[in-house]
Amino acid sequence: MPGSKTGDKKTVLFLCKCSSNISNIVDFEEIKRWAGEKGDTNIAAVSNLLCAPDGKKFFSEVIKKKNVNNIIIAACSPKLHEKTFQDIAEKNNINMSRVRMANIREQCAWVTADKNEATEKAKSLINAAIKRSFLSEDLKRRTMKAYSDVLIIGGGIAGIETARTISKTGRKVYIVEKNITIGGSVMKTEDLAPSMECSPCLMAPILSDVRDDPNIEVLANAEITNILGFFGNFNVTIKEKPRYVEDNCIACEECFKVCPVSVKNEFHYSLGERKAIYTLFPGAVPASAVIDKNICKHFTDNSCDKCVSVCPFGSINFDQEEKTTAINAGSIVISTGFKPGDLAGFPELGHKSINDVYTTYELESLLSTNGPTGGKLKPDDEKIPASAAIIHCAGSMDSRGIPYCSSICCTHAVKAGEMLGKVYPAIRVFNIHNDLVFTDPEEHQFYKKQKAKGTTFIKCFDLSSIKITKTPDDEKIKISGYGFEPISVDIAVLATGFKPADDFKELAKIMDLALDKNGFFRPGHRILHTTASEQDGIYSAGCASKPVNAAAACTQAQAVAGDIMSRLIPGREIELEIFTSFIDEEKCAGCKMCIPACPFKSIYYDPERKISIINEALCRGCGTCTAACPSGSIFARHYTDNEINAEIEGILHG
Amino acid sequence: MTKPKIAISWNSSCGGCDESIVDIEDKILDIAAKVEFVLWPCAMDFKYDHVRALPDGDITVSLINGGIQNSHQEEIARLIRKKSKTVVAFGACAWLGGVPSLINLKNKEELFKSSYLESISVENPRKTLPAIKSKVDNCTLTLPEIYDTLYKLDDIIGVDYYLPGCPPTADLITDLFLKLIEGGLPEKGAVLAPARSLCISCPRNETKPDNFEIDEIKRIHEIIADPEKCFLVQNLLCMGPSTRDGCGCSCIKGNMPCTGCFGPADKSDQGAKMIGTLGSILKGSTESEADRVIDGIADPAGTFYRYSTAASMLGRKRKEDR
Repeated sequence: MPGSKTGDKKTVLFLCKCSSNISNIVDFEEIKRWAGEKGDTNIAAVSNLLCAPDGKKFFSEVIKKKNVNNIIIAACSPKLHEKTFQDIAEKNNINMSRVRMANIREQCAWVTADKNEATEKAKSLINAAIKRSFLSEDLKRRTMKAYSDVLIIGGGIAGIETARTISKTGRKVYIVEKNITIGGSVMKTEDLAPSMECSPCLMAPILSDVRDDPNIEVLANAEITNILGFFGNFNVTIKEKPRYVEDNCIACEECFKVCPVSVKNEFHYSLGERKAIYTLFPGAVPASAVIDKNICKHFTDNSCDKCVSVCPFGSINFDQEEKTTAINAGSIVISTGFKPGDLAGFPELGHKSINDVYTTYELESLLSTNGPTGGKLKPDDEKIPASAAIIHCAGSMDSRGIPYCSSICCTHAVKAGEMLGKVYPAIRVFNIHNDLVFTDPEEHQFYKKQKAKGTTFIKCFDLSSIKITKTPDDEKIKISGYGFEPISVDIAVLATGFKPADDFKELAKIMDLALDKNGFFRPGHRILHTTASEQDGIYSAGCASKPVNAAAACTQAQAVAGDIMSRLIPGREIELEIFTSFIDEEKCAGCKMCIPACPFKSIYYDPERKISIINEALCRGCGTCTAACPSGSIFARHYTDNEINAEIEGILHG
Repeated sequence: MTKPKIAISWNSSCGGCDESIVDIEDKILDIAAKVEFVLWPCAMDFKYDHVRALPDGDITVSLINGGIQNSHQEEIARLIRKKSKTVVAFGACAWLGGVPSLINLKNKEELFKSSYLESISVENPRKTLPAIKSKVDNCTLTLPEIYDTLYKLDDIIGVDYYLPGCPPTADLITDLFLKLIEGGLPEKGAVLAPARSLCISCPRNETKPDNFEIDEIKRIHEIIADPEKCFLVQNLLCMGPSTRDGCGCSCIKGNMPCTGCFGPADKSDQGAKMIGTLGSILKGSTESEADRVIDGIADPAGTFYRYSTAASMLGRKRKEDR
């Protein structure tokens, strides 16, 4: 039991007048008389302004000359100067825990004009500090070397750009990607708006850079299962699912030809098909193919191993097992991307019920040369669409779907028209919109260019009135809504918004982070630090904290990288919490009730010793476990029940 | 060598503690042969004057059960203290006030009203209440004064040891007698049971996950409890985490959650500790959600402070200093 009463302390009471801020109201002569009469302090030293250079010198001299080992300072709030005096005390070989402040300024002198009241309250607070100080134990400062490696969750363009920037400094960077290869959403389109640069051409050298960078390690087909720790000292557990194909696979695709099982390709929004053994696109990183265990006939009925016989590298390994890896990192970046808004709640828009109604995502997947149909809407259909309508805000700004404006889908919608025009030069395009949101001059220019090319922009003041219909007799799709004459077109494109990815909630729980009302990660500050999170050392880039386009994602990635590199210097020590909690192992009954109470996941149960254990490298000293411990077996250093009770006792019984 | 002298006395208690001493079966005969009983109102015929006649400190050990709620109990407790070398607060009531101390959440007037006027088993048309003095046919009858507060034993007299339980178990009682006769009692002030909470011996503790939440609280009659799973995980309040070990988990082995009769594992406030710990497993991110879960606790005082109200920081409505 820490903190038994130590009577042999030489205790000094410093009284600071704070010029006259305190002594105007609090009667210092009376306090000195009272302290002398009480007799549990050895010296009462009065200073005019203890925090001034003269005052600090005086403080230092008194504690040195009088050989004191317990210090009470009756002055201002400890928030202002406790550390100041603790530091001076430490220089004089007095432990910082022996310095305690009684706040007789903000809590006495400044809250009343009544001298008596203020003086009596000052006595109570000083008495509380004295009583408590007798139970204080020496505390040790602890430091550890910070990890300078960085872990990135999500290998889209934001994650990749962060990794590439940081790896240049020689730090190790890990990219954890839940999909089987990195690249993310930008790999699903041919062109990036508004500059209409070829996305795969842009990404190909970047991906091979990542592949060849010795400082970047990609853990694909993987997910985060646990994160412990804090800035400079994160401990992350990662589960890598088996690929059933070894790393020596070069994705020669021989096996694709013989694999008898096909399934809808979710990477292309289920528009095309893939085999049970597959890659997402040529030039993927990691390169090796993956076997889908749920459909592969080796796993379902043990009837096929054709891939094994055709593989020139002997890469197939049905016995691969799930792998759990633990990584220490100093910082974590969330770049988990987004999910397209879905239209399940909007049957009137005809998505999936009417042929030739696509979302913008589906359209760009179909129109990309990398895509499921090699760049055409329908590869077998020779019919060229003569007209297309693009509906803005489909499924957005509506409580049935996305209640907010994603702010980047208008450009996305304009891009759909541009992409259609590239493949079908004669096509007539209509954009049906209410608001039009463009976030920079180039995007606006892009829209103007579309307009100039002949695209008709139709204003519909209530987009929830839009109905897309097609009867079996109709040749064309009919689109009607308030404020415009119905139009008939060959294809309809729905510009859906950007939603938080499915795993945000789970990740937020693992990292103990809050999501905003739309389900995105809440930034550290909405203006000053949009890429920080509410937890020091955890950053976000890309669509993690709000929908952004690829250019903004890259800018954020570079900002995050800069922030991390400026703070996480290799070799630098970080100071660990001093006021940690500890468990009395003789008393703990292993009831485990403290484990869910710990917000930092620093407590675990040791089944062999049948007790709970606090990992003091992770403990942040919040004291929650102390309150939660039902048997009084956990103590918070510097804040033990005994100390607090002594303080209360000191106030109640002067 | 003279035999050690033993006194056993009762106060505000149910008689179960006295009963539990007899319940150590044939061992009581071995013990009786080695000691001399000088007082045991529940089981043997001694007069208090016998005790008054003893020299001070003559009784080797007194085992006192029950808290102090009236002037007679206080007088006898003080007498026994004076005559005894060692006093053991025997059972939950003497240590912590026990079930009777729940009265401290009311006061004497409410107690009288409920017991003598409103109780459905009482017929009292003249609304007679206990009085310290009453005249009947020119005679003055006296009764001890009932206090407004039920005090735990050490509020009134010095106590050397505390034996927990409602009642203490036969094993702990036998062990106490053995140590009284043969020596081996710990330092004074000790509670004579292991200083850990019950989960350490609970056979169900291993079934409790490291991390779990409960979204409602049930009472034992509302479900058929799994005989192997931790009660808390089954939405049942079990006081085990904040209750001292040493009972042999007899309730739990009978598929009943612990009600806390062994008191706190240390000197802390047992009920407050249990309330504190529930905060870490009760689900409810909003106040109304949390309220819904908490509303499932039908009788908070009777659940968390069933045996320890007199020792709790709740205090009472109005506490007299004695």
